[in-house]
Amino acid sequence: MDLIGGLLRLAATRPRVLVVPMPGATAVRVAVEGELRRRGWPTAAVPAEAGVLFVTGGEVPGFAELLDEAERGMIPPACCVRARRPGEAAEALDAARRHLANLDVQRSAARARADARRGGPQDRGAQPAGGSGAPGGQDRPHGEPHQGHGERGAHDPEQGGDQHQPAEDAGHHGHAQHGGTAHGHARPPAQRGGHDGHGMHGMGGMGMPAGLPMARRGEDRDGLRLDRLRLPLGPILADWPAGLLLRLTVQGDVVQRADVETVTGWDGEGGSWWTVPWWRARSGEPVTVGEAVRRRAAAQMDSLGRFLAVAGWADAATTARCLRDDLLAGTPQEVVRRRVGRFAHRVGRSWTLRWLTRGLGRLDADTAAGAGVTGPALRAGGDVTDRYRQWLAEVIEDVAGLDDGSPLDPTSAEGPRGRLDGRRPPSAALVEVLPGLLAGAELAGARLIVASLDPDVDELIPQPVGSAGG
Amino acid sequence: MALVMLVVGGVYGAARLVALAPRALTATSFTGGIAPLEHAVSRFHVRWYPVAMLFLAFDMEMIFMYPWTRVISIMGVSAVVEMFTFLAVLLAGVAYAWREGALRWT
Repeated sequence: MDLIGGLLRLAATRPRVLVVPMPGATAVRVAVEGELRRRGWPTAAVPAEAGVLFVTGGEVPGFAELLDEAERGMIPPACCVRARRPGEAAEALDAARRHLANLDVQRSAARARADARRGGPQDRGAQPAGGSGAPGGQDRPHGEPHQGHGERGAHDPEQGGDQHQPAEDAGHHGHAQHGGTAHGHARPPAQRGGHDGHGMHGMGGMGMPAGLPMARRGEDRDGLRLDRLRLPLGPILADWPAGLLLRLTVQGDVVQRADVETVTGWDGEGGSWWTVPWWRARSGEPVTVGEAVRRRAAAQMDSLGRFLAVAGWADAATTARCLRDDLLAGTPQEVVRRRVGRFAHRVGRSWTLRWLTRGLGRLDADTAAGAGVTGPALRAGGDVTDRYRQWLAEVIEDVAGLDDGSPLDPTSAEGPRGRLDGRRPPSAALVEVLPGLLAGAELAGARLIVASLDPDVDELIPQPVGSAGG
Repeated sequence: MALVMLVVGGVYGAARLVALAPRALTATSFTGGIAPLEHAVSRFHVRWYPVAMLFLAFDMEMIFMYPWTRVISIMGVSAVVEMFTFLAVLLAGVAYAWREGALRWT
């Protein structure tokens, strides 16, 4: 009477999946999302509620530690899979389900993890080569629980806060930041014990919660000194552009400052998947206008789906993604045009969505043109409401031209995010404009603003966008 | 009461039996895969504090209004005038704060 195994198999029929898209793997992400929607599997927003960590795309060096962090946050039964090509999505999901339903494997993995945590850090086991579709990672003993990161912060004197010399501050911050992202995971237990003792000295009996220091204070708009929290809107986030990292400084829930980074280190081919028809036309292949317009409409639908999911309208977001998959699968124009029209009418008619987004992220046409923004963001010339309505209008226009069989003119390169024949890719200007728009917005507003611009990090490779910080 | 405790204890016990990991997961908050630098227990934005203080001021004013409603029929118009003068004084304070920008949202 294998009750636990039976329960496990029952739970494994529809596990929650956290999809982590890598930069350069848009096609795989779209395939996986479509497959999940067809199967009716729920998606997770954070690792703690995920049963499957699904990485779409190849290895990106900048992401390795982030993925480990996400794995450590998952509660057994859990499993990690990777798919490098769109065709591998279905088999990867099946493999994940088989792995999850296997009681012995899950039990030994959970036990190994608990032992590793208790018995001090050990070397990370042999890295699985990340074979396509093969589940891996659960039986690696992971060293160092999360407390380890906080030990570095224990060097901070107690939270008097404001009396530190600036040099010491900068040193500590640099120390903590470096430690947070780049240090290895295996550390000898003796060192950890030593830090503990040291940390307890300066506390005066008041331990730091979770080993992390409290937020430092800084000036706010009225000259008051309030706590400033450094919060990353990180690469692993639901409905977030793949590879984009926003380091926010937040006071309460208001963003004071935003620094944009991209997680790079990826050596694949540059260029976004959404703009492939134009690149093909430029390199001389015969491409029809209908193909290009179809790809562009699908890109707008993808952005719209993400935006609606961030705005909380899950139903419309699912419809948008369903329409995106229809467009990419080649559904004939009459059918898809009707559906898109109905969807655009429904979303455009919603007063709630309009009120939610009114006044956020105002980017008027002059500022946009000055920063080099092209495409729908420039044409909309306003706040988040104007931008999503511009997307709706453009999708309707595009869908009317799906049957156009004339050859694509390489000089008319209007991609989904802007003109492709400029000096820089259109997303570079969008990313540059972000810090200015985000300063002073609330956290929810910040996410809506990013979703309404939806920069594509793939377009920025191989031009690194390092200078786009705030 | 005992039945409720039995049920709750039963649910906990069942969860303990079925769980795969021997103890609960210890993890900090998930911030996109990057280790959190600071604990997120920090103060609210300043805009909530003026709202709280305004509420307190007008709450105390309301407390004065409760007995006032009982005597107003006896005392007549003068009572009404006095209470509204009191209200006007408070509103003058709010107007001053508004003009100074203390009630600005973000």
